[in-house]
Amino acid sequence: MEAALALAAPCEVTFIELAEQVLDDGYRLAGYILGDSTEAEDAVQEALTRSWLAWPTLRDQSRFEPWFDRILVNICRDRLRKRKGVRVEELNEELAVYIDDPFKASLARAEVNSLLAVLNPDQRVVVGLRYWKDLSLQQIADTLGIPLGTVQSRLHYALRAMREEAERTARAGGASPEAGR
Amino acid sequence: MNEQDLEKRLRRVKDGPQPEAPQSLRTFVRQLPETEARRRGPLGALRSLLSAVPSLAPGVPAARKLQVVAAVAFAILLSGVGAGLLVSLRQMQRQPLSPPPLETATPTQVVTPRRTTPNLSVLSLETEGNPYWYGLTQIGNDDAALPIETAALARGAYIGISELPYGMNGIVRSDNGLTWDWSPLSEVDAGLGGLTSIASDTTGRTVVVGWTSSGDGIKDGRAYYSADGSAWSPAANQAVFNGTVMRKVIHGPSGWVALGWSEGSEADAVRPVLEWVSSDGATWTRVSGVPIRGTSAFLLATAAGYVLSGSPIKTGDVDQPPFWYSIDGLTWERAKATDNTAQKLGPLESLTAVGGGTLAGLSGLGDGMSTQLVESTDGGRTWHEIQAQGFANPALVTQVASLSMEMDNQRWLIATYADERARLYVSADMGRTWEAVVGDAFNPVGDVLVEVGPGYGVSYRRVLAFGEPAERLGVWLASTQEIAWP
Repeated sequence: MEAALALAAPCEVTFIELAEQVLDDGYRLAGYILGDSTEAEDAVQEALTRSWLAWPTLRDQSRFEPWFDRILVNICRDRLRKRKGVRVEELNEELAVYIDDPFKASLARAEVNSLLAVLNPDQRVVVGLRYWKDLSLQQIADTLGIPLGTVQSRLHYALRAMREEAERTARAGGASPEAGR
Repeated sequence: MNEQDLEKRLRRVKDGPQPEAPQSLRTFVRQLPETEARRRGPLGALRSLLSAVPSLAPGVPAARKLQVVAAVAFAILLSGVGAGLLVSLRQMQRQPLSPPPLETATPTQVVTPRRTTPNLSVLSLETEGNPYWYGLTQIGNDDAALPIETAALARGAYIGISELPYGMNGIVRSDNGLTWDWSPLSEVDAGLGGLTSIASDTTGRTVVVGWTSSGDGIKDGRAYYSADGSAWSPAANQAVFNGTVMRKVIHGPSGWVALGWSEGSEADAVRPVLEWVSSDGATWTRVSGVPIRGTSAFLLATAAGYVLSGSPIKTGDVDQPPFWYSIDGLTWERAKATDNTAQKLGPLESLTAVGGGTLAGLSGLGDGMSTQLVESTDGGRTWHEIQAQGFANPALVTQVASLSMEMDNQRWLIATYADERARLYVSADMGRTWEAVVGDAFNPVGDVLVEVGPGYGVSYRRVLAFGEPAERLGVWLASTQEIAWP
């Protein structure tokens, strides 16, 4: 493999180096947004293919990561939309630590699976970039290529929807919504 | 559960060991160029060669390199692909899978609107009647809407900044809002990295600013000017912008004012905001004394001067919101709030000059998500809140602009509003009462609303609403006879 890399054109080497740098972060971002390691791997693979095909059009290589992230989250969003409604993972969260899938396990351990299930794909992407990629609102706007106000609005309604879901769940379970604070 | 508890719970997802990309993905990356070339066959190999042309043999003229590539391509074709591939090759030459080398880029591309709903015009890029996707048919939005990021009105023409999907910067220009020309500024400056802001004066002279990358990670500012919006020249003393990315440019009564800040290692909150001024848009002078810092700023020209807003370097008095005004663009005076609201008002996120010294704006509130409509009737010296009626939640207004209407000879305010769905609202009484005029069709909200005119004949003015290209934002028409969208 090293020999193959050595024989590759300079632009290919640069692409491979940059792609390898964002691989782990991209895989985690897709994993948390999609909540599934297999789907995350597929999404990252698709993003890599698309970014390679579009690679000649990227004029500034220092922008590779946000450029790649934009392609990746668009793919994640499309995949969420194709689920015909966000899939609700009915997991026993206490047992979730035993699940093989690391993303399902992490989401279940943090007790956010059912909360995320009420979000639409756009909201879930913004939540992913904010809390799991640790981007500022402006960075999210830049990455997605959308206005800052739209990011603020999506996040506002995403958090509100999750809070309402948490309270609904707590009421249904007879527990206080403040439980766990 | 309150918001802080929810945020803690969301961040807890990342507690513990973080999953790493599986080995299969790493192998995939390394084999990707080869796999794709093989999958796409001889044409794919040719494409790879074409894409590598700019980096091959530095110093050799591009035309010569292309001749060599063509010879190699010919050899590939002779190796057994046949007449069918020759047809494909001809098609590919008309619809290249990758951008043409900059040296041979066609100066002007025709952009035509494509109407997909009664309320929406979508811009798509075409060349000689053929879709011209810049190799991005598999990227994001398959319809390749042209993302116009911001625009200015220059002598009746709309001039906008467009970053073609994923990296090609240029200027779009239209006399009627329907047919657009695209001029890649990369022909003026091959090192151009990005464009950020555009403005025009009353003569039609237009200035656009942005940045270029020197290759060692440092970005240098750039400014270009044009008398007609078609032919562009670099500023005479570009070096004055070195080390700073230019972010904003406006033209006001005392000339051109531009702001920028670096992408260095300083924390965002303390990064200095720098200012330049120019009388002609061609030669620029750095000035000191900008009262804000950080990585955002709002700058607007008014009839009498300039208004600036951002994170203050010095804490103000209890009646001073983070807004400033200036007569000459060189010295800034801090504005005051007359209604005891200064302490809750954050930097302006949107602002429009309505006329007669009246300004309407949106101040960001402390939670980072809400806004407050504010107004000044003295050119920005003093401000007060507007108590807006008609929105389900006035804190979710995202932008405000103004539009002159012939039907009642007065200015109307336009606001974009975003809750679960984005909407467009108008107000005929300076923002006191609002009415939704475009509901579900206006989705998502645009990034900028620009009052522009004339459109069809004299009876329409055009409102350009820009935003999320993936969602196919486009151009809306506003009649000056009524608030209605065709």
